[in-house]
Amino acid sequence: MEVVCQNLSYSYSPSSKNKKYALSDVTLTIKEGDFFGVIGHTGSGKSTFIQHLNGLIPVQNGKLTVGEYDLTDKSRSGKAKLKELRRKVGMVFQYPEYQLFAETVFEDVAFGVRNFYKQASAEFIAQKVKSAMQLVGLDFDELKDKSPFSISGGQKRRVALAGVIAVEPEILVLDEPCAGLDPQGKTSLWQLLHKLHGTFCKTVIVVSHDMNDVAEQCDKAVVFSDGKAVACGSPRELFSGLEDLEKLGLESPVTGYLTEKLKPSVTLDTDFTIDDFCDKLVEKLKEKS
Amino acid sequence: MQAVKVDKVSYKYSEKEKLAVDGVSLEIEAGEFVAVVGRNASGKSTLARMINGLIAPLSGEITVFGNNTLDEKSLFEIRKTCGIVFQNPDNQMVASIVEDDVAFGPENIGVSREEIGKRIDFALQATGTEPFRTEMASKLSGGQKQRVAIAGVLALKPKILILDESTSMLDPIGRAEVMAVVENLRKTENMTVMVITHYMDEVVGCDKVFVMADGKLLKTGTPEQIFNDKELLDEAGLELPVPAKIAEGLKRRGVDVGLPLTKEQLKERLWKLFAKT
Amino acid sequence: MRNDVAFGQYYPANSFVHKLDPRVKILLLIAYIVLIFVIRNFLGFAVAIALLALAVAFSGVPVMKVVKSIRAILFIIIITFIINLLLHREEGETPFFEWWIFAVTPSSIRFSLFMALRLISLVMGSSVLTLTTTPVRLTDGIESLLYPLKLIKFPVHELALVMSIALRFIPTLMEETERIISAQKARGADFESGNLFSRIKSLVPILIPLIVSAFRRADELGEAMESRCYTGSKNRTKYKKLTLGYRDAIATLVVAAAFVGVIMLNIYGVNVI
Repeated sequence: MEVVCQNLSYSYSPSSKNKKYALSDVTLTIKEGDFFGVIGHTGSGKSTFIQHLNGLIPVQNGKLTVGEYDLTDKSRSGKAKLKELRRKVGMVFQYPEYQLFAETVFEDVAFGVRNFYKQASAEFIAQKVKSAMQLVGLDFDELKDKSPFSISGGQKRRVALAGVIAVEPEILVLDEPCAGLDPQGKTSLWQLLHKLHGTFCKTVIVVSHDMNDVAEQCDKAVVFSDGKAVACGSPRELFSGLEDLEKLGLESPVTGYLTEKLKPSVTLDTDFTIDDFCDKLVEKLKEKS
Repeated sequence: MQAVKVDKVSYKYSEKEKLAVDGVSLEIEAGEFVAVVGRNASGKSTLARMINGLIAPLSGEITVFGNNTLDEKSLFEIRKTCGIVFQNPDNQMVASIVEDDVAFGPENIGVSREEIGKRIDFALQATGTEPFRTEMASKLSGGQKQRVAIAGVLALKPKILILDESTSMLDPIGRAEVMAVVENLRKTENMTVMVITHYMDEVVGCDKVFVMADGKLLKTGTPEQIFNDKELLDEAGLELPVPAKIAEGLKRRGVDVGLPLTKEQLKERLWKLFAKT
Repeated sequence: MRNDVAFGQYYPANSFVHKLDPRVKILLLIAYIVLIFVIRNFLGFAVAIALLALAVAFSGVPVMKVVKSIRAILFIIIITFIINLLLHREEGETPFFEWWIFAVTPSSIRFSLFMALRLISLVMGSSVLTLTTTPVRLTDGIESLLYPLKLIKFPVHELALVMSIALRFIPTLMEETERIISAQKARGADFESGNLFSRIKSLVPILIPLIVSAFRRADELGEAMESRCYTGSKNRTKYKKLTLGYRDAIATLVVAAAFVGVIMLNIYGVNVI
């Protein structure tokens, strides 16, 4: 499913005279298969943008289609359609462990499955829950009967993630999935997201503050500032125009910083991942000597 | 002068659980800038709470500028001396309006109105939050809220400031704001600072780093010593700061630039490298 | 984001009304409430509304903020209006309209309008207090007014602190509720369809995380307060002392004058309608 968004605008106070736009005139496309980063400060409009993708925030102005779902057309986006869309676009909010509620881990992961498949059999549900838990690296037999409030913080976050992917969404949207994790937890979460990216979940959209992560992990990214999508492209494209980013008060990835500082004597044509940066740098060194 | 002395301290939250802090001994000198790192649940926050006297050690003892935290009578003095800023700025504000919240601490220790006013002026100025003095705290950004939380602690005129993952819920701008305030306090007030953090770049400028794992103190050292100890990093679940990661990548490709911890250092070394060739 | 929905949240300004002693403001609000309940005719309301307008004018708060405070109870106002309109009846009246037990009569129109006006002026008056008084000043005022209760060992300080913390956490918890609702909606939760029972059941995934989080917040706040040397009301000082000034005298006089006016109108005034 492709996300196409044209001149999308949104205001939280649409009736007031001097209305402020949370989103203003956003036009961008997220292709199926992208591992897509969403960058911006708090209040830049990125949260408002992602909540449009599964209809949590209705389209006010402009056009938005997600796959075959036209979110602009209110007459056709009935309740049933909206529900179908929400199954296909899974959304993991910031600190998702704070939304756990059920008595057991099993029940919490099953919540979405029961909601989206009203007539589902017990076997069907159990199978979905089990495979979701295995995907996120949780031991089904050990954890399924435990209370989600009694397990460790890292496990809680994985349970919350399992609860979203249990219905096999085609697009997975995550808001700051690494917030509060320790370095190891962060690394293994990124690995997990790349693993998921190869399964039913064809598109991954990640909101992140950390440019190093975006450079390292994403194929493409959009930069939000003051509700506008000010830049969109591959890390190679985004971080080549570093001055623009820094004007917006966004810190560049370290590889970007170094590439910039080595100019003009050395120009590196890198995609800004650490590996590629090192390769290109060593190449240049060999050329020079 | 010694600011904090932790002597063979252990703690557990309940009978059944294992030790959250297990025989930790460490010392912090006055004016020092130290970091405590390690996985989640490795005992870092428990240690901070014991230093502040919020919880009493099960065994061993802690002294803060000579006051023992086990001594009920000196607890008040310890909390005045050693302020702690927590992770979630929303959950440490008592009052809705910024100045009312900053006033809370000095009100508790019973100083005069004039003195409270002076302390609020000082604390707001030190954290750059005067413009929000009469604003609703709930309308501020994360970084601004956390600076107000620091101001609330500063109003008690502490000599030690503990930041318990105080930047983990903030965006980069908020983080930078908070770290700038800390830097300023170290310079102008000669404040002893202890940061508990998962951000390796916050560790880099420290005098001393304490590495914890499973409640134990694995190693104490300078950032250079810590980040050069590969085994230790693995054992404690730590990572290199990004510039050091790049240097490592280069080393694997046969280019040795040492282990620079900041991007500025790495830049200098790369410049030298290209100047030579 | 949508912080403005909270009923009469404090509006920072430096106005005449802001500077009034909170104790005086609370007492004057009580007087005002009594006033709107002793009003007997619409002219009396003119006095009450004039008083309210005066308060708003000297508060520096945008009029719309005060008017918007009705939104929170608009539904209740409309329901009571309709019930009163259809059910209120006085003996020997000829109704304009009658059906089953319902009837619209001259007195029911008068009565329902009266009640609606009362509710509206009550809510707008109270919102002037909360809009111009910070939670801490408000609770300080209450604490001071309840001071005599301390003699019978009533925990006045603790009560005031609890109230102030509750007010402080309203916006935080509202934001959190919105976030949890969004998260559960994204997981396919449906809060709008089904019968009453299933609707109540559908609230569980919102309420439980909210309660868990409230406990976590309470825990952390307790720790933060303790680490900032809180030990109860003993030996505590106050940054903001409550002092009476000339403004308080003026405000009291104005309200007293309105009171006299309303009573005069009750005695000598003609019944309009």
